[in-house]
Amino acid sequence: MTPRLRIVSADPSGVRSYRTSSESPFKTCHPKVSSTRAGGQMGVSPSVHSWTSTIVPSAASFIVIVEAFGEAESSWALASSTAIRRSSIESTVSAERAATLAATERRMWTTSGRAGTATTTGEAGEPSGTETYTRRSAGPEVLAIQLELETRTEGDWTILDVVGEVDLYTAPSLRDKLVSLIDGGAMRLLVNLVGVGFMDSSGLGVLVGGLKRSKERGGDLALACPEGPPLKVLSITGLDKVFPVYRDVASALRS
Amino acid sequence: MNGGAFSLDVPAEPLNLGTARTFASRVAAHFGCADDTVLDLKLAVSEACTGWIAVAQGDERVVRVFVRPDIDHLRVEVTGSGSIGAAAPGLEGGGPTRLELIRSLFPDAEVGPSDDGGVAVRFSVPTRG
Repeated sequence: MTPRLRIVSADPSGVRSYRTSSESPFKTCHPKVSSTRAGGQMGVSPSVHSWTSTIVPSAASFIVIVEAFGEAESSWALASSTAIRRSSIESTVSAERAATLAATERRMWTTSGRAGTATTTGEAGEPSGTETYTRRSAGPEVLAIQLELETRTEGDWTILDVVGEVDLYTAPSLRDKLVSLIDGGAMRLLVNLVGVGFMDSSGLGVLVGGLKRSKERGGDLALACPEGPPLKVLSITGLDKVFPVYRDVASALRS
Repeated sequence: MNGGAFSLDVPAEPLNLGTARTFASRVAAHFGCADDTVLDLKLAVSEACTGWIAVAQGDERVVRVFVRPDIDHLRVEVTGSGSIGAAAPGLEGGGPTRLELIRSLFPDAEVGPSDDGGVAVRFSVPTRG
C-alpha cells in the first residue's frame, strides 16, 4: 500500500501554495503550506477541492503522483524547476510514465486548472492529467527514524549513549543492546537519554525490562535524562520514581 | 484559517511511526500550536499508531492520521484496527495503557468506531489562535 497524503478542500478565500520536499519518500509526505502566491510555487485554485499526492516508494527511487481535482480557473506559469523532465499524461489515461529528474532537494511546481480532473502541467500551457516523475534516491538508505547506540565506561559506570527517537521501530535495538550489556556483566549501567528527542511507551517498556534484568543480576540501571520528551513520558507514567534519574551524565557520575 | 483537513495513510508498520509523528507535528505547528503541545501531539499520535501497528502482524493494514482544524483547536483522529487499550510490552500490570497515556495529554481522548469499520482514537489539540 502506498502512503497517501490528501489535503481536502483548498482554502476558498484565496490561494494556498503547497510545496513538498523530495529528500525522501517520507519527507515528501509532509507538505509545507504557505499562504504566499509566489512564482515557482504550486498554486491551487480556490475552486480546487482536493489535492492528492501519492508516494510510491521503491528500492532505489520513488514516484510522486500529483493529482488535483475540482473546477479550474486561470492557469499560472510553470514553475522554475527546469531540472525536471516530467511526463504529462492526459486525464483519460490511467497509465503512468516515469521520467528521470535531477537530484535536487526541493521540488516546486505550479498547476494550471482544467475542469474535472487532474490539473498539473508539464510545460507552460500544456495541459496534462496526472503528472508523474521519478526521483532517484541518494542511495538505498531510507530516512526512517534511526537510533544510535554508543557504549563507554567512566569509572565503574557503563554508559550507554542513546541518540535518536525511541519507538516501536527502534526500541528492539535498544533492548538488544541493554540485554547484551547487562548479560555481559555491566553492573552499574547508565542509559544516557540526553540525545533522545522522542520516546514513547515502547521505549519505556524496554527500559523497565532492562531495570528488571539488571536487578535480577544484582546490578543498577540509572537514567541521565534532562527536561524534555523522554522525561515527560517518564513523569506521566510515574516511572521517574522507579528509576534513578539524573539531569545529565556528570550528575550521575558524581552520585 | 484553512477550512481544509489533512490526512495521511501509511502502512501499519513500525517503520512508518516517525512519518506519522512528523506529519501530525508539522500540521500542528503550522496551525500555531505551542511547542509543548506539538510534542504532546507527537507522543499521542505515536501511542495511538503503535496500538494499531503492534497487532498488524504484517498484513495489509493501514493507519490513518487525520487532522481537521477548527476555531481554536485541531481535531485529531488516528484510525486503525486493533486495541490501544493494552499496555506497552514491559509495562503490563504497572504502567498505564496507551489510551490512558493519551488521555493524560489530551483529556477528551476517546475511542470509537471509525467510518471505515475500524477503530479511531479522537482528541482535540488546542491552538494558539
